Amino acid sequence: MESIILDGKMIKLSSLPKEKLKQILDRLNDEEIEIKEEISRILEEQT
Amino acid sequence: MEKRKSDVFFMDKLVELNELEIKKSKVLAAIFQKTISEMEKKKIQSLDANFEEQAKFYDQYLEDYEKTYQEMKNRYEEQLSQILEQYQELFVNLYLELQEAECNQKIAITNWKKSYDIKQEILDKANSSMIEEYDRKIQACIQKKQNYDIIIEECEKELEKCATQMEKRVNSLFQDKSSQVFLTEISFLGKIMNKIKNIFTGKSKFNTYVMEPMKVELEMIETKLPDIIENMEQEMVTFVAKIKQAKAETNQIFEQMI
Repeated sequence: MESIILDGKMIKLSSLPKEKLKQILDRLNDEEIEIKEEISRILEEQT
Repeated sequence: MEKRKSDVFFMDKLVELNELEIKKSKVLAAIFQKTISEMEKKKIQSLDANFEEQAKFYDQYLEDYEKTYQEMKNRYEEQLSQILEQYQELFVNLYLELQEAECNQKIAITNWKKSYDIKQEILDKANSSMIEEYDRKIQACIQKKQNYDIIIEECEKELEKCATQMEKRVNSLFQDKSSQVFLTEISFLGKIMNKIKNIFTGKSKFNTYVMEPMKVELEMIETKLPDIIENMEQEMVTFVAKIKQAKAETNQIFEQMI
């Protein structure tokens, strides 16, 4: 079963419609950008 | 104490990034899989619907054509599966390249931090050449991380292209049959006329306008598909080679810098 944990809940991906999956992907992309920016900020501050 | 807190925060962020990338890969694969299933289902449903409606229009019994239609449908499904499986393979290969690039980038980020920490520790004790060595390592890691930003972007673009190209190519090759259904609302008199015409010419028209075009279309697909698949394989090999080359060059630059 392909599932992920989102907001503390386990979600079975195959049960979701494509539009919902796209929304989740957009959200994960935004979160990824934020984390990458944070990591870069920490490293740049130190170097 | 403050330094330790910042180190833990940094490591947490890296772990968080790793988990996010895993989640993203699962969601992306689920979207791709769903697109494939939907396309497959839609194409077969429209083929069936078109056939049934055309048979109704020409007053033909479906049972009379069952064997021939089933044979054509099986060939159609086989061709459709072939191209979709090829796209699935392309997707998996591209994703493996992306995952490797993301993994290498995280290693570069970790080494960047590690080199910085060591440099801070030895700042007062070590000689200048050793400090310069760590400065070079830090710069090399920064460069490696930036190069992987580009490689990752390229892989993501190719993955997006894979999904859009699949929809376009499958739709152009396996044209939607629903659009060919010409059964429209006709008057009562029109229906009577149609029934009378069908008694004499229904069977031959059904063969000429439905069965024969289906056969021709199927043969066209069977002729075109091997070339399409061969081109796709070549494109995949070229892209993967390009990414592998970029990864090798990135490593070379890193080695030269340190």
